[in-house]
Amino acid sequence: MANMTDQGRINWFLQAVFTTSAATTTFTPGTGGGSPIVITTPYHLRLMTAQGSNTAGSNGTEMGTGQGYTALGQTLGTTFCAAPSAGTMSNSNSVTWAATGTWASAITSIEIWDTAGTPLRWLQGALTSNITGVVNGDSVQFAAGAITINASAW
Amino acid sequence: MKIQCKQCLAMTDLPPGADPHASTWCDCCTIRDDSGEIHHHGRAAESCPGNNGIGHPGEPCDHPNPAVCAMVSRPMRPGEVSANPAAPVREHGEPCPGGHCGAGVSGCAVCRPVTHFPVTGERLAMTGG
Repeated sequence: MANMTDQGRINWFLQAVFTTSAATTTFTPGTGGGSPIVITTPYHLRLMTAQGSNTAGSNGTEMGTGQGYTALGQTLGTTFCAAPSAGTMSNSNSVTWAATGTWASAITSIEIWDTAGTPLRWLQGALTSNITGVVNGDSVQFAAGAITINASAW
Repeated sequence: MKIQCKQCLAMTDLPPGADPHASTWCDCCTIRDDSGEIHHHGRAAESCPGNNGIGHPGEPCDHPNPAVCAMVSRPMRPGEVSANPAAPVREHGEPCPGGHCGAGVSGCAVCRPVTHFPVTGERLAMTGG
């Protein structure tokens, strides 16, 4: 049922989840509404050499630690995204890695995880083109606005 | 995806699959090898003869002056004094061919590390895991 959700509700939800700057945000459903939803920020951006899917547990393959990258990724800042508009929002802060050696595998996709004790994956998606040819001395930078969350068709 | 020369800050679009270090769009990389090809930063960085010629693949150069980082080892010669006579003497060998580079590195011959600017696709999906 794509494009059927009221975008006002989607914007509301997105802002609550991805614009919050609180270290911990908890949504407590009423009776029968399931378990509380707990989000521990900051969100982290992870680089993936193989994309997963949006199915629970189908994570991609993260780049290993080394050559300037550390497993579990890097913070997206206190506030991940500014408030959404029309179901779309993007990252507020840039994230940069300084390569200290050759990145042997192409980076095909990214995932965004929270920083709970057992981190939860929140977003995943492909890059418009792979990151390839990274060598010692290079930088890889996701500029502010480079990561787009588009829920207009959720 | 865009890439940017870290020295002159000129940017260009990189076609999918293209080698960012073989692209020439600014005037920083002026070195040509004997066959006339533009110097390739990545290949040069991996040809480092440091660490007694075995290189340090995938590892950063820890030399304070990467342009002269090549080190060789040799046995002590008669008359030389060392705190550790059993250890081989380490000294600079042939100058580094330019396997490491960066703005301001004296003698650097591979002048163009780049910044990669990736962007995500149109839709980044929520996940269930």
